[in-house]
Amino acid sequence: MRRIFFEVNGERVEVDVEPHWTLLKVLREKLHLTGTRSGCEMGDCGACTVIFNGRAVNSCLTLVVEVEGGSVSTIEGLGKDDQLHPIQRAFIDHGAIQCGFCTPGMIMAVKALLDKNPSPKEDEVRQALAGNICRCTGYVKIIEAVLSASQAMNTGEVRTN
Amino acid sequence: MKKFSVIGNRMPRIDAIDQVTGRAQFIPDLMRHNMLHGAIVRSPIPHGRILQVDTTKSKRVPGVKAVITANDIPNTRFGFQMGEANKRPLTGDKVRYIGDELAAVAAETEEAAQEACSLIQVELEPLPALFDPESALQPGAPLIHIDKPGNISGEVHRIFGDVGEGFLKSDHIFEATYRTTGVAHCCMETRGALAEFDNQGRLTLWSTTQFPHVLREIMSCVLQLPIGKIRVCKAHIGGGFGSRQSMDPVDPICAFLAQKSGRPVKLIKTRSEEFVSDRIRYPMVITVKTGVTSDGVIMARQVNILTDGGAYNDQGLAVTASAASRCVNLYRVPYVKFDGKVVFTNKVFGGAFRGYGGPQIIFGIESQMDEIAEELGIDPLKLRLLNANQKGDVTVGGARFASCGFAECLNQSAAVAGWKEKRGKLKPRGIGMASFIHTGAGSINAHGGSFSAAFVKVEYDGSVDLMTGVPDIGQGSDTALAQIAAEELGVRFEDVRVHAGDTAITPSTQGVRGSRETFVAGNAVKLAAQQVKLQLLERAASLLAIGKEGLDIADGKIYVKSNPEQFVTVAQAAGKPMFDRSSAFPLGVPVLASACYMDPVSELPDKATGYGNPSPAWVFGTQVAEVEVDVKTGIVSVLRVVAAHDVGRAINPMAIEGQLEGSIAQGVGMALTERVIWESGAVLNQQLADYKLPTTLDVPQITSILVETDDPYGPFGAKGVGEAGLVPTAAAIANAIYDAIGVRIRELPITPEKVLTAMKKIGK
Amino acid sequence: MLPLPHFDYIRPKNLREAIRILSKANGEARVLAGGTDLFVQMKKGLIRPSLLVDIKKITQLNQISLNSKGDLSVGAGVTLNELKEWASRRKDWFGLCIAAGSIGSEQVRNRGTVTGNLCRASPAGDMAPMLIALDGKIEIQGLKGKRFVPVEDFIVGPGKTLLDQGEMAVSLRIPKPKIYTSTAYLKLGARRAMETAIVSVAVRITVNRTSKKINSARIVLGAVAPTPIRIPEAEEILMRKGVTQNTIENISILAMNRAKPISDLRGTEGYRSGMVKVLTTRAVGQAWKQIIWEEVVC
Repeated sequence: MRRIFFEVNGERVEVDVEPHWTLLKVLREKLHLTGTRSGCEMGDCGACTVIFNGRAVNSCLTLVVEVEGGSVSTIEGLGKDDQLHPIQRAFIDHGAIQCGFCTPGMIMAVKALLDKNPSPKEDEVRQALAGNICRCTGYVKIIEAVLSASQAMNTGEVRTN
Repeated sequence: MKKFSVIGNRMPRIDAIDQVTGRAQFIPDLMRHNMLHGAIVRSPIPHGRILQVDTTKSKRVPGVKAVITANDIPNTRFGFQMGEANKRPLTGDKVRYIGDELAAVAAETEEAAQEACSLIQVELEPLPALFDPESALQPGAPLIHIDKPGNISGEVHRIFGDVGEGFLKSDHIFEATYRTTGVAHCCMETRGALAEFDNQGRLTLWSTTQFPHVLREIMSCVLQLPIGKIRVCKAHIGGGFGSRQSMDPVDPICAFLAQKSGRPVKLIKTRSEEFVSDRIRYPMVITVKTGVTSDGVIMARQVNILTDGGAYNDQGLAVTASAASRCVNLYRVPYVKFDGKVVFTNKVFGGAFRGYGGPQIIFGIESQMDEIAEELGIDPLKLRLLNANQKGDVTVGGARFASCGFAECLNQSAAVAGWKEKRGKLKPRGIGMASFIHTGAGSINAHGGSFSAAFVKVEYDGSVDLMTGVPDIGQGSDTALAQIAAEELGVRFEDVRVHAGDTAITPSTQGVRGSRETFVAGNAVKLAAQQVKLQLLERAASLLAIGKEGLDIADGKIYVKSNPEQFVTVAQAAGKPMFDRSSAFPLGVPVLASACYMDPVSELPDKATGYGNPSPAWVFGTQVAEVEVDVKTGIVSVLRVVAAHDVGRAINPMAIEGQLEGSIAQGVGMALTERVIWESGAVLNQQLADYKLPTTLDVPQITSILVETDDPYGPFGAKGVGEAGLVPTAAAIANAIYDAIGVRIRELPITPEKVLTAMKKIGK
Repeated sequence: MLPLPHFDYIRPKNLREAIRILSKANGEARVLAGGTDLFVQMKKGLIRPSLLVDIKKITQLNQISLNSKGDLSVGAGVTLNELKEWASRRKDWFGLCIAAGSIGSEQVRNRGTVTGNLCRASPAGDMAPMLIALDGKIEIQGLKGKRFVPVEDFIVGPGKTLLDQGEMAVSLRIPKPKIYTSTAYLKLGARRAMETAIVSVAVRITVNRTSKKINSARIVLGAVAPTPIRIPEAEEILMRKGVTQNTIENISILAMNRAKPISDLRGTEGYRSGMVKVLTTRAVGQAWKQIIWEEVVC
């Protein structure tokens, strides 16, 4: 076991870990942030997507020791109870959720995209989300939600729930 | 048309906030005190006699608390319809497919459980194995189940009229064979369960199940525990698409491990385990023979289906019977003969999958419709319109259509897709269409009857609790049912809380399948809400001193119809909290109703002939697919799908569109890229990298058209469309490919290699 | 979940330390860069290193730089997306953008490295064909010192490279493409993302501006042999006879005949063979068209 420090959703965390533990395992089992999901463990589905040092990554293929000293953002850090992030708001309003299992990973991938490219075209959205598999929606309303969220974020529209 | 306040609105999901914040809990997120982790040992060979399962070494792994084999559990079997049960949760005599459950372990950690599994020594005597139905039917083929001669799991036969006579009356006869293969559901959440016994031997089972009440009954048989000692409930469920409409061995295995260890046990399948051992769409070989007049009127249809039933019974017969029903009821066909056989093979076995035999049979029938249109020189749209079912029809098989939007769907989808402008003119692009019929309200065949029950309770603050047995597996039932309750009662959607799928709290239903829940559960909710509304009106009548006939409820207010300014709130009528002595009503008397909806329309099909109307509502639809074929690589791109669906009444248009869009994406996968790849019974593609689900870059633009036909029996006229979107897609794509490059491919998936081979054959 | 097997983990601060550790490990250690391939193999039980050497904190390995001549150096820690984004803005290096961008998903490309993809030496790897087409070299360092190996020689078999025990790949060096160079990389997959190539073709054409003749060409096939393969005879034909309908037909047939595809999950031998011809035709045509277009503009 070794003790490492890193930042999760803006807060410093300190945790005793084994080298072979993935970031996904530590987030879910040690930090009790269960929003990030395990869909395949092989990097094929994106359900475990988090943002690490500004980039969307599959936490199932990232060791927790690799993020030592770095900054991790998960779904739990996005928006607050009384004020959802525009991406979350758009997913709700556009019906971009069905079973919800892929949703946190999808939203974090969207966040990473919009942080880098605030006004993506539809094709760029599809490219950025190609690593997030959804079996329920056919992606139609997800794409709509992303385009709508980017518009809202660019015009400064903010809605409360 | 009456104006609704909640019905017809594009309501976001009732649990949307939990989902977008990651707070929604799925079974992998649940923790119970002292919980153990389970893992399963599975057969490495497709067919063999079990000589020994030695668990000695596994028990010595630190952290292991229970190890079980077939010898440690009752000798009980299960299957979809319990009479045909032939699967034990842990098999004891033989293994019958690669993945067959042999033993299970519960340990403190997942790693310990997996290590213990690797130390369980299994001695098997390999037996000759059968990998396709044709081989399994050969005389002298080894028997997979000794009580099933010829490896035949069952047969379905339908005869309506003398089909020979029908063919005599036909000017042209078409016959061809179509094939579909294994398709995996690939729910994003893999199958899992969490079992916990209390000190009195009562089990609570959280499961990814689609039918908690039915699961409880099956568990009761398999565990040999009375129903009263079993509670089946759920967390959020990450998809189902039919796969969870069967009990999987995971459920009882979890319970047995919990029993043996005395601690709660959670067991989640890994993704590769899911591919190897979970249900699939039944592969079918479908021979379709259709007789038509020169004008294109269908006179006769004869269909033969050979269903690959896999190693054990699940819903092979029911799915084949469902395919039979489509065969009998789609289009106005005067003479129909259907013969279907479900055959065992040593492979993973099928189960329910969205469409329930529909996607397979429609691929056959609708491909052939285009082949007929081509030969006769009739526009495929006109051919379908000519033969389309209409409202009021009774088919030769006895199906009755109290509402039917077939023609509207044909015309509207064609118009929006640009049928006239594009058909035949865009090569190597093409457009093609396919139609279908499906149940819109479940089917009475399953488990004897079709019913659903609901409880509705109004709280002191005017909010409403709705208790329904229906689990929301992502299809949006919680939201739709809340909408129905809110509409019927006259309260706001936001004031309705849904409690679902918990056998201890919510009343019975047969579960999520057959696109039944909007209709059957919706009707139950409507009935219960009506009763609660009456109770509220009575209380308000006494508060307002006006007869209840003069009152109505809207927006949470019970108002005088002739003078809406005069009202009491639902909260006031519901009563006052316990310590308020000014309450007009006896303390704590709840406003509460229970209702059960028994489908009044359908009848159990005749056992001998199959004649009958098994569903009170049927849905129709047409999809038009536009594709582009790369004639050098054979790669087909689906550019657009226009889908017109008869929905009765759109309770939640946004949710319905979502269901159609998701279904169509699955249809594109089924048509072009998805297949379970077997080699000598082993599933070769056990990873999502190798089982090709469409990504954001592989799905078409989708346009949905919701045709409302106001069904007389559906709640507010609604019918169910959870499955419908998947049924015609593959056929529409196959027909579009024909329009694009003039090749007819009769086997799914339509891979690039098949396209090139077909082109070469016709000299292109 | 699917746990990884146990291992030790170390994060050296500089290259010398990393090499020392690798040399002492007797083949039991693996370099950990992106991990997107490594962890998948470990979870499947295919490899069980007892030590992982994380190179990501070695700053010199994280650089993409051009020297004074304009030659490119890509450190072993540079991710696929980093290279893709860098190359997307630079006409000379656009081929690298396409090749890197064809791999995996956004998430995979944010971790997986260019060098890692090369060293994995999958017959269907996407970086190798383009790196060979650009005459890339790989810088290898070990206790005995530094050496440079042409990428073309580096991969010797499926999953096998020329790296000796104790050596590690440090950077990729690609010479600045001569003026009027155009590249193309075409990859065939069942879907449009997250695919392992069924067949892939990388093409580079360098044209002399005055004579308009092809000075040099590279045609490299991926996923149709145990390693990526160059087709020198096809390159000769292009140089001697230029790009015409005839030569394209000849070289694509030549490429098809040189390819040694197998049948596997992703495709049959016959299909792959046919696709070598199709993709070679298209890739050469695409690369050629770009040069003509440039000329017109210039």
